[in-house]
Amino acid sequence: MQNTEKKNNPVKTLIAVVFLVIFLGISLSYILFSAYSARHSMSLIAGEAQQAVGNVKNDNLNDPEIYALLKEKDWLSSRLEANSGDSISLSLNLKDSVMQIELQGVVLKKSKITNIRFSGFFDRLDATTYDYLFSKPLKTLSFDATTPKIPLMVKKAPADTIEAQLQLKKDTVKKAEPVEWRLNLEHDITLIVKGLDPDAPAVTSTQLYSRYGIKRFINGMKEISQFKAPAYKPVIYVFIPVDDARSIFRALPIEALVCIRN
Amino acid sequence: MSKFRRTFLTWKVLGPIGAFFLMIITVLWLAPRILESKFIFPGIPDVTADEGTKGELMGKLGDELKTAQKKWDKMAPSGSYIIINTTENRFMLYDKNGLVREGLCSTGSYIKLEKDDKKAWLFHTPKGVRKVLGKKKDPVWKKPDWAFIEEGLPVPPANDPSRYEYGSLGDYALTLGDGYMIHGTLYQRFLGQAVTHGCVRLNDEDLEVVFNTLSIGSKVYIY
Repeated sequence: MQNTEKKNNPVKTLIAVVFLVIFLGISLSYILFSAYSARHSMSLIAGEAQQAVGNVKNDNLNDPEIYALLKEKDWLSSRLEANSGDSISLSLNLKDSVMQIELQGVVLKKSKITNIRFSGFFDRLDATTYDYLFSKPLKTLSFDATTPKIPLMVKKAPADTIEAQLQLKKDTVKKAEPVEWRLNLEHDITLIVKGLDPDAPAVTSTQLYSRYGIKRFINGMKEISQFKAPAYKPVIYVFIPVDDARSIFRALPIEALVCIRN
Repeated sequence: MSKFRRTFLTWKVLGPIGAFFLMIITVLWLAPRILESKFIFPGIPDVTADEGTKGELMGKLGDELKTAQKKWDKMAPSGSYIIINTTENRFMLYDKNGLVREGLCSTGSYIKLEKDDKKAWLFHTPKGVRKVLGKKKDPVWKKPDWAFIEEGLPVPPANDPSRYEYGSLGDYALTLGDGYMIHGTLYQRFLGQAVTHGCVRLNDEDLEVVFNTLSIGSKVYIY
């Protein structure tokens, strides 16, 4: 009996070792490649920022007091630029946890952010890079959402008054819909907004974070399998009341300008 | 029990299972935290500027901030204005002292009415900024073609008496251009819902305050 077990052992051991190595390898390679990608992405943006200022290095801007004033100036300048047109823009103040939409200097809607989470990237920007990224509004390159931007309903013209009455009697009860939208901004920055319904079970930021963690892992592994470092995208997750999330999303034009202050 | 132990509680079984769970934990919990942590990125240089340079830079940035603030202050309207939220169907009325009144309204239903001959109308309240172009007391509604088509009625000639409806727009109307208006309604139970053909409907009391607060040229912000 013992002899038979011993005969099977090498195969079992091999399988066990292969699986162990695969799982550990995947975990390790994902972390290593992604970490490399994140650092690389940061250095690329920092390089672009240096080029934008003519490669003149001014480390004095990183003095905490100067940097704080620079952030204030950038916040106002970017909003000024976004508000100079006739389109509604989005302003996201991570420092004060406020999201608002503005049009020509008027705050149309202000929403208090109930929960916020963002990449460490935003906290580690030096002054020159911060100024490069946030002194102007960021353009929205694409978006996706769980809720329609235009809640269009098509109705055929009734043939007579009887048909018109029947159309009126149709059920018009609206279903509660989850509201979550994402804006893909310039410089590969992603903004994800989740509407929190006070009557629905709350989705925690950890759950949301994990969901995007899986998506990022799948995309990352695809790229790693092609011998590429996975693309790094700094993300901002914002939770606001569901009605505010819906109103703000519908108000924004497709190529909305977004101002960010950290 | 011992057979179970021998079969399953061995490193050959538990090892890969443990590694699999380790991978799941890495993907769901550890990796996002590591990747978004401050430790991955190089830090901000720890710099303290000398007093002269600091004063110069702070002065320059302060001036730029003041200029920007002045521009921002100029941008906002000096007179009264109204903000209309077409998603929640609410309005907020402001004058130079701040919020005057807020409440429910009705805005465009986003219904697209299609007629057989490829003619269609979209009943929406256009977003953006408009101005009050005119103010009317006891307005009369001249019903457009779609009002008849929607009810399954034949469309009458341009100035047919059946096109004129008295009292359905309430006591006042503020015109916004392109046929859009802020006016009253007979259907007050629908306030707070998107049910109109594009106009903004208010209840009688709110309409009177809006009519008296806004003047011709006042801005109407719709989102």
